[in-house]
Amino acid sequence: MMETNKRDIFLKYLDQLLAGAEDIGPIEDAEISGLIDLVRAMLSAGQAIDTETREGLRERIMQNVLAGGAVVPFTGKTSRIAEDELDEDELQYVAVGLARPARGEVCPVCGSSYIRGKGKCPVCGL
Amino acid sequence: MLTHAEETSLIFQASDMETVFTGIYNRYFTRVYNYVRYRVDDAGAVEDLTSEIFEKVFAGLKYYRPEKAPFSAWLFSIARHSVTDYYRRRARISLASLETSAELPCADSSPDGKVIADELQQHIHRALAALGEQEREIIALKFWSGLTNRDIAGVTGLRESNVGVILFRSMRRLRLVLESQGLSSSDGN
Repeated sequence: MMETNKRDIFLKYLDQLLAGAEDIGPIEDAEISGLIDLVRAMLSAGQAIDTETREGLRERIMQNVLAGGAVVPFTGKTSRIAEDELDEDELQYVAVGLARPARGEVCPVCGSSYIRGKGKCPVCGL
Repeated sequence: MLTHAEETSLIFQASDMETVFTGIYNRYFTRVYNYVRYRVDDAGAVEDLTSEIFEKVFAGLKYYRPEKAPFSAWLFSIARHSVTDYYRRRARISLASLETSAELPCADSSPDGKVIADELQQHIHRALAALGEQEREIIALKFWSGLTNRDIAGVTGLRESNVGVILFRSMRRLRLVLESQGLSSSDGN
């Protein structure tokens, strides 16, 4: 079977499985069958997130969301910093005697930092 | 999968923020968490990024316009850019961008099925680390964002036909990598 045909058949089965189908019928091609087995295994394993992780994150996020605190992009630290406090990059500038770089805008939608251009966030486009 | 109308109803018709939060979290947590986990190796960073993404979603909820994009597309756009920002920040502070972490998600010591699933998940993530960044992104979006190939093309800037090609070839490679680890596709099923 040509690769194009195999690809199209695989993608059709993949979409069915991702839509929740359990029985997609017999698969004649051995390679496609193996790939579909892998898809099923990935989907099954992906559902196995332990409850402690799920609920722990829920509590943490809900506290932050409902408290309305400032959202600081993750830099490897889990502590929050005040909005007017210098971050690591700015501290490096100050430490060597340079003025800190001008802060750009923070998009209220996706939270990404950017230099304001023509009104739309170049990251999320909203 | 929610329809666009059902998603909008979930967001805009709930009476209080906690209900909105619970609805969105329950609906999207598994997908967001797995999307991030497919793209980032560091287990600690997966949780922090997942948290960051949901916080950004709720912070930006008042700006979401259903007529511009389906909610899931909007949410995963935020997720995608959050992961990209994460790698940019790590590159700026000179850390390796895709270290294979020894700290994979801990296996629960409960029944055998759960342990097998956790071990399989670890194998899958090790195998994903062998793929290129674009391949990981396409697989992560396809499996967990709910977006069609056309939507994924729009988000990534690829052509729709290229998304299908990359997806097929990436899955082939992933299967080969797993087999080289001694794991067949049917393990865990």
